[in-house]
Amino acid sequence: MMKIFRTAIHGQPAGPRRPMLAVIIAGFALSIALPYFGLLNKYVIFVLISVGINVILTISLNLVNGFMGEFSVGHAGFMAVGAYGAAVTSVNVIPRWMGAAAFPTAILAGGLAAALVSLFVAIPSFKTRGDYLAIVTLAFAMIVKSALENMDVLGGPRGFMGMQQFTTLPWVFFWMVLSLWAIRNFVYSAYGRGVLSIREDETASELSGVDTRKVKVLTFALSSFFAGVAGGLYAHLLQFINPSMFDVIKSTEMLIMVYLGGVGSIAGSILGASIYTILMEVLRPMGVWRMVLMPAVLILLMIFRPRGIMGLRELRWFVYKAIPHSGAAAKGQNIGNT
Amino acid sequence: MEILRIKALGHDFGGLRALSGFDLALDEREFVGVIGPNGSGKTTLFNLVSGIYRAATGSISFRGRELVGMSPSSIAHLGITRTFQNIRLFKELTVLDNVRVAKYAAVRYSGLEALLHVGRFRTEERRLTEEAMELLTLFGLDDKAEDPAKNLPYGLQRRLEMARALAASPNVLLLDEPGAGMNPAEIGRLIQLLQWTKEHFPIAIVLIEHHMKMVMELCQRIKVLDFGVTISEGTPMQIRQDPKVIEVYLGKKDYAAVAGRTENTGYGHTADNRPHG
Repeated sequence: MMKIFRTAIHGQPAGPRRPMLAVIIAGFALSIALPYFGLLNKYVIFVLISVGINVILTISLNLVNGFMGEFSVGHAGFMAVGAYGAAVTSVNVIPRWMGAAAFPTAILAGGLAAALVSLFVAIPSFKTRGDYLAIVTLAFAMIVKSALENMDVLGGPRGFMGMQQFTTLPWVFFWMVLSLWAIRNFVYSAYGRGVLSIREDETASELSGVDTRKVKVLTFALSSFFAGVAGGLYAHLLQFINPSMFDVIKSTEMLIMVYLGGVGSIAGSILGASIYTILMEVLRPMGVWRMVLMPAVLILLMIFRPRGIMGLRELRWFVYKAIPHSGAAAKGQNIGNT
Repeated sequence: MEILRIKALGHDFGGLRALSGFDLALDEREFVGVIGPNGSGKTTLFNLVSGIYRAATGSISFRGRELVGMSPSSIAHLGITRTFQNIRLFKELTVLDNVRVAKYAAVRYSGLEALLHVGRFRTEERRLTEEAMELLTLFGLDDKAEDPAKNLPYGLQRRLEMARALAASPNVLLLDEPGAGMNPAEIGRLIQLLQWTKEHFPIAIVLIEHHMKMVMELCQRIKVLDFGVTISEGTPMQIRQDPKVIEVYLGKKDYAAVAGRTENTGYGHTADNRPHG
């Protein structure tokens, strides 16, 4: 025992997060520089922004479906709440002269609105065990969509507009990093271990002292918050939103990205969102046939790689160790370089 | 000093009376065995005490606090933890994380600190991890800390489950057939492990077991259940000679013939025919 602690305490405290920090800074610099010097055309920038937004959506859904093992199929509903929340805040609440400076406030408002609404879903559906969440979230997404369609203040089925195009590449990069960082931190904490243990065996988790109801509600709210953030960014990218953007197809897309990249994996969420978004762009000439391909991909995935590319595995860069370099280095569960 | 008092505890499933009128006063650091044929209500008793089922009648008080109606996690938090008849580890999690999960209630940082990894988070995580590693070292699992729990051999999984149950520093440990599926040599090691556990941790243990050798060697007191009713209780010596117990285990007609020379359990796979003492 002492041997392990000695190496742990006196061993080199070289942080595995240092390279990560370099990547983040470089990425942020690039996200400013590339568009500024006109090195990317508008279309490529749009695709990159979409990738960023989809990464946020994927990590958000992965937290519930992959890490916690519950099954939410209506995440587009939370995205819609976030989109409308952020849009209304920035059009009707924030004075126009504040411009882009108030953009984070609008996004936060969207995220908080989604998190708040998620409590109405989470609290009753987590009162019981079992698969109620899937049914409740599906119903919830439909309710949100038809509620929005019938609210004339928000433009009804015609949609809502008037937002400025605040969503730029650096902003998306910032929110993407923030989402990934926060969810990664959450996963590598006592709450996160609670989340994972719920997926593995809820009864054993409860009997080990984990307040499973609290953990589930908290996790669901956090997940919805980031879905809302993604919605806010989406609204300020297109400058126009309408209820039919957030239909079942949107929820399905999120599910595909999660199960493509890998359940219970942060690296997998990035991978899944990137591959899927770019693939859909490359296949744009296929037109509506893309929507045929999409479920086919999902079916093949479930057959040959049910946990996705990175299922339950993590890139070492994302792993947090309370005691760095403790004894046996991460193996088995973790893959990656160094 | 008394730590757990169960009074007139009863529970039924539909019309089936699974447990009735169960009484137990458990002292601190006491080792009590609960035996009885399959379906006699032993596991139901554990499910009631640990809060999985809500008792239909009776009361369970732990240091004067009523447990009936409490959630399993609060009961675990108060100081009663358990293991399962069929091992229930968090299979995909590492051995270390299996133990750290059980320290959920012991963390002293807020959700915000967890989200940002700031404030008390780092020192607390280090403390928890060191404590968990210490426990794993005691159970000889420290070199497997980073392995997924599912990769452990059966015996070590049993041990890890016990380490996990002890991680929350309980006062009462409920062990549900820890010897299930073990051969006599493994049983011998398990007995040593339990004796050692009892000496090292300030806990009272309630043991459900079919292996008579274990129960007889470890327990100070034994309760015998049959069809949910307590039919006998006393020291191992008294239980061994109680005609009612022998009747339950061996049948009525010829107990006199066998009672003298064996404490056969009636279970072929767990029978231990060597006389004790």
